Amino acid sequence: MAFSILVCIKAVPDLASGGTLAIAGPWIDETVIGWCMNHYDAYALEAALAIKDAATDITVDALSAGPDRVQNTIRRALAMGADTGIHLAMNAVGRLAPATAALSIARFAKTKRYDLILTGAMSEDEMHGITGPMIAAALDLPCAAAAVEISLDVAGRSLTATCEMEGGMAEIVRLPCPALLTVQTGQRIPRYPSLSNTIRSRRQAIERAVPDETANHTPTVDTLRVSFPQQTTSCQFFEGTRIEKADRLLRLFNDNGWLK
Amino acid sequence: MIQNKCLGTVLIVGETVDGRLSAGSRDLGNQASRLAGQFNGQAVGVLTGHDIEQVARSWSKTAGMPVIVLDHAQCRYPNPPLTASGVGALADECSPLAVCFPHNMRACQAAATMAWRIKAPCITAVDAILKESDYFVLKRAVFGGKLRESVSVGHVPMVLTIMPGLFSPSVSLEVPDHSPSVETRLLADTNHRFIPQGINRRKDTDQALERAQVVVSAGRGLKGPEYKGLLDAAAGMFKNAAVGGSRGACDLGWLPHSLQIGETGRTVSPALYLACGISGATQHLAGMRESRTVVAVNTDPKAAICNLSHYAVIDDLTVFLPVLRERYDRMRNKGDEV
Repeated sequence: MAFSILVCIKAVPDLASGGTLAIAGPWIDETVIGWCMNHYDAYALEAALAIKDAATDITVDALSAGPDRVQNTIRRALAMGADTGIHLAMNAVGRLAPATAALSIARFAKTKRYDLILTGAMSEDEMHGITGPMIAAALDLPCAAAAVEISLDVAGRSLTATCEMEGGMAEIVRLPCPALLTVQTGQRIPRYPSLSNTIRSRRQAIERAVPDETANHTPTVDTLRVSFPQQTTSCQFFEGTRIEKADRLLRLFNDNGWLK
Repeated sequence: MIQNKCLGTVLIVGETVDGRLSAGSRDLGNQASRLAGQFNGQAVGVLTGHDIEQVARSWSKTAGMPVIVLDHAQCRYPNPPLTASGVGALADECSPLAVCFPHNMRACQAAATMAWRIKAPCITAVDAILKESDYFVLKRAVFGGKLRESVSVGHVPMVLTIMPGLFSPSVSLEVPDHSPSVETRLLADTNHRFIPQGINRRKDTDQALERAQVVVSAGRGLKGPEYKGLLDAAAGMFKNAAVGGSRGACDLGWLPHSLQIGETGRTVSPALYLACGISGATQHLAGMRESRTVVAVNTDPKAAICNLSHYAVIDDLTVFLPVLRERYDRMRNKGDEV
């Protein structure tokens, strides 16, 4: 029985490879940074690919909404093993508000009748954690957040998800498909692209869809500014050579009676 | 009780887990009156669960606000869709200024779902609220705490998730002559598509982290599992120490998840927290904020952890920790103090 999965991925500023943030206008300077796949979305894609690996007749589509730069992230998803890459071409300069992204993705997904939609639990850059649930709300799908384990019953068209809670607790929920899950990091480390998939991803066309951006009903939330956190003056930075710093730290530890 | 037109209502949404108030809800309740004051409104609590009237009375009393219980058998465990529809119906009824949830992933889900339905703006992880002339400025951390974002919202109601400790606990100076009211409403049996099965509680094999006087903790700055020995060696200098890690280090498999410190992991409050290569994302800080002394070893002096630290050494932990241990050994071998 065929089963289709959509994974929503976001291109975010790549800070892991040494990029640093600079501020320009009300947001960051997007011209001086590289872009990569949101870490949480990579876990969502890995969860989808693991489901695909374990059964037959499962397709995984990877979708990203935004300007042309998101295509590199879509290629990465293809290289990891997604069957189809979809670019929701949205010309919004700068950022897409969660509700805007959710509405466009939902309108697209509705035409494809996916059995399961996966998103990351949040994005590394804006950290809202609401786009996934808003897609589910727009499509009236059952939804669970922060899944760390997914067990799919393809024949029964349902899934059981273990969702992380605070303090080491986890809630287990059952959802009928179609459903949407947001995926938390931790369960399976996202795979590296295989050579054959990387070669395929370079040749494969990315499906392009242009969403109707006109009828967005949600009230706007404007970013006024971003700033670096104020440095509190109470932190004392140890100066000197490495040995001097080590000795000062040991003196502090010793004076407090913590050392053996 | 929610028809106070003069002041306007701020809904404070709490939850119970198997009949007990969640920690985030307790914290939000403690902030309720100051939070409502910020909107020039009056706090009304909403508590979801099943058979929780006693819990609701006690929450209502400590938070000093009336509470409406939304009761459903499927709310014994957190149920974001039922919460969203129940609170959404209350919002339709009382036109609140704001609806505030504690910040966690499923509250984000409930907040997003209800905001979508009532066409309200949704802002999560809010840690400061300021009133301007005709709009509100909300502040939140982005990029894992590397930057702070200020957003403006001029639309009510707004749906928010609130970081713990945004305001210090409200202290009511007046002793109320009567307890605030508690009213129970049974939620309609409408949702059959989100079926809670139960709760898994992590079984910590030991309480070493919680009992330790010193916690040596590492983040992504550890660079790889091959450096874990450096943490053990550092911990070995102390009388009573344990090793922990940030989510980043645990997700990468460098440290076991059972040692993860933070919002979704363990909470520690040692005399000394030695944070090595930890950037200080808010989720991590939630698990170690109560530490009495915090020392950071980090290559980035701008890392958020330095804001919370008392002392910091700007260095690569994989180079600094071996030197620290070597100086310690030398000091002990000489038998003299540094």
